[in-house]
Amino acid sequence: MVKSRRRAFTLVEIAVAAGLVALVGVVAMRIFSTVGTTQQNLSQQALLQMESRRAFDHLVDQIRMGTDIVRPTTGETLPYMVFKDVINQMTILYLEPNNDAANALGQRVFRLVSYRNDYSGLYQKDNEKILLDSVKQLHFTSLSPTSVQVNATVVNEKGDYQFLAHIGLMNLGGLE
Amino acid sequence: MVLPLSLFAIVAVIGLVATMSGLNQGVKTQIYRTNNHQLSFLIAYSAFSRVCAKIHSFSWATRPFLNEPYTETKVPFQGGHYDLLVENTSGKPLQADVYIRTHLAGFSRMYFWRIRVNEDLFDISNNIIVEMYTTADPDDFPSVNGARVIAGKVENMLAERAANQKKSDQLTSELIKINNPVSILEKIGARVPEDFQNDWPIPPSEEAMSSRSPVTIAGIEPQPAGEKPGASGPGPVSPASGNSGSDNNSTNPAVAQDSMTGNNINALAQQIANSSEQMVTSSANAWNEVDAAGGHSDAAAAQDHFEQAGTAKEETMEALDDLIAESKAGIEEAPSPAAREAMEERVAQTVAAAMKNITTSLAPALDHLLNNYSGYLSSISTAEAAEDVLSDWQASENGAQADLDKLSSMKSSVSGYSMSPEIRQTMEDAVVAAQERLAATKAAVAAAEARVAELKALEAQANSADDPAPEEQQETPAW
Repeated sequence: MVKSRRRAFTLVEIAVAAGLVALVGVVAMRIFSTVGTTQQNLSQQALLQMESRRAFDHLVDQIRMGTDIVRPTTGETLPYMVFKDVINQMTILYLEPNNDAANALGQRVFRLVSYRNDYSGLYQKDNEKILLDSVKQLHFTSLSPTSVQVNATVVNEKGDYQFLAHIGLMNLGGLE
Repeated sequence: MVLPLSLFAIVAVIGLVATMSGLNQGVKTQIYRTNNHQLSFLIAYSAFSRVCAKIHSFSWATRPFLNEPYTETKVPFQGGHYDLLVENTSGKPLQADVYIRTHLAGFSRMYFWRIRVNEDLFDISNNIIVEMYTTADPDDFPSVNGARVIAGKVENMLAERAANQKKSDQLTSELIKINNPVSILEKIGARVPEDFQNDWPIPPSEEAMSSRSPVTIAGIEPQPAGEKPGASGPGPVSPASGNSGSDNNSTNPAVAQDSMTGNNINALAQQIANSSEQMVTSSANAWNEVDAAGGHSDAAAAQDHFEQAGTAKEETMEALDDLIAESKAGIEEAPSPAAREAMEERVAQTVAAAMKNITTSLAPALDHLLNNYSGYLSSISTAEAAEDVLSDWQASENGAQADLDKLSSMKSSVSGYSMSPEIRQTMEDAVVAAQERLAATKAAVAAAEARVAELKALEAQANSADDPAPEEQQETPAW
């Protein structure tokens, strides 16, 4: 009859096993960290896209309802746009410096502001809207009397997002 | 020990992945929704275009919604579907209301167009005009016999638009002349923002944008006389209109500038049109005075008009020289073949109109000369008077030759330009008219020379009869 003898781990075996566990742990932590950072970057970029697209929708809807482009004139490129809205109120889209974002990002960053003149002769706070908070640059080019091309770059800590749109006015008929 | 650690690691990874994908899914959903917002409009606009195509393919009198609203329901399109209702606008002939409701990815959106149909067969590009476009609550999509909530709102918006029309036009005419953004904000009444607190570097592209000179606004000028129906010939072309068309103030210095080249072509063309028309008017007035004075071209009342015509002619010639010289550089540097062609046509038309006016203003003088020169010469009884006339007419011949040279030179300067056959023919006719004037003047000069010789001979004969020649006196005694 053979009597089996249970043998304990040697000190070397335990040391090797502990080393392997530590190595796997370190690698796993590095992977977690990298995946986390990447996910965070992707999320930031996706959020940037989302905010930009939402603002872009507002912008397109506003311009599309316009009756007449005042500035830029055909062939002109400007960092602002003036047009008459659906009820002939004068509307301007322009950039104002966003100092908080600029200080955070270390570069010139603007807000995109929309203001509508209701001919009351006074500044009306309710007629002002902030469409976007972090615009790096924005240009409007009028390619025809009834359409405008918008080229904008929005920015956050994780990068830039650029969009380009050609928007045509829909309310061209005027009055009888 | 290894097993718990492995289990912990697996659970942590699963947790991390689940959290991140949930977050990403949320963002993706948001982006998907904003994409659908644009896609919904495109579906509605496609449906609207199909309605317009239907109106085009029928006549207005046989439109599909003549007697009752035309409807389409749940028409599948681009992954969604739309409902459509088109009907005549209540109380407004040749107008229709188009209601379109889209359904895409669980969201409904509503769009409204009011269109006016222009039944002008000669204006096919402008057959359907959008009077009003707006978005609305999807619940307001009307049934055939239901209430028309949107139509009422649209009437109010149109009334507001009409009320603001003059104010907006006035503001437009002011804004279009301003190039400083701060002034524009002040004019509109918006809040003028403060500058950055720190001196951040300006990106090169933005710097280039700031230093770019503004585009000059082209205005709509009054139609030149030469372009009016029934006028005698072509004239300079009006510049392209601006966006709003409301800046037609000819006192605006920007109007005088050609936006294509920066040259002062438009101002020169206008100057040429004015001075050449002044030349025609003054010349006609002068010859009217001559006729009133019994055909005497030295009538005192005519002299002022002749002087005015002469001054206008000099101004026209100088401005034409400037126009041809200045436009040459602009044409060579034209940004595109189309721009070059447009400029060439414009310069050619201006030159042709001026040439025609020059020959028109000189035509009465030619008629007067042709009709009267032989009779006038016959009425002259002394060689001295005939020599004076000859001297005047020789000066006229030189002037006619100079005019012909000038017109020929102008014609050849622009002969390579793009122009219509009518413009080319107008220039040709002007040169031919100048040649005829020169030929007639030469004939008159020849007749005057003959008359001078004739009168001299007669005077010599008369002198010899009254006072015998010394040779004869000497010879007579010799015989």
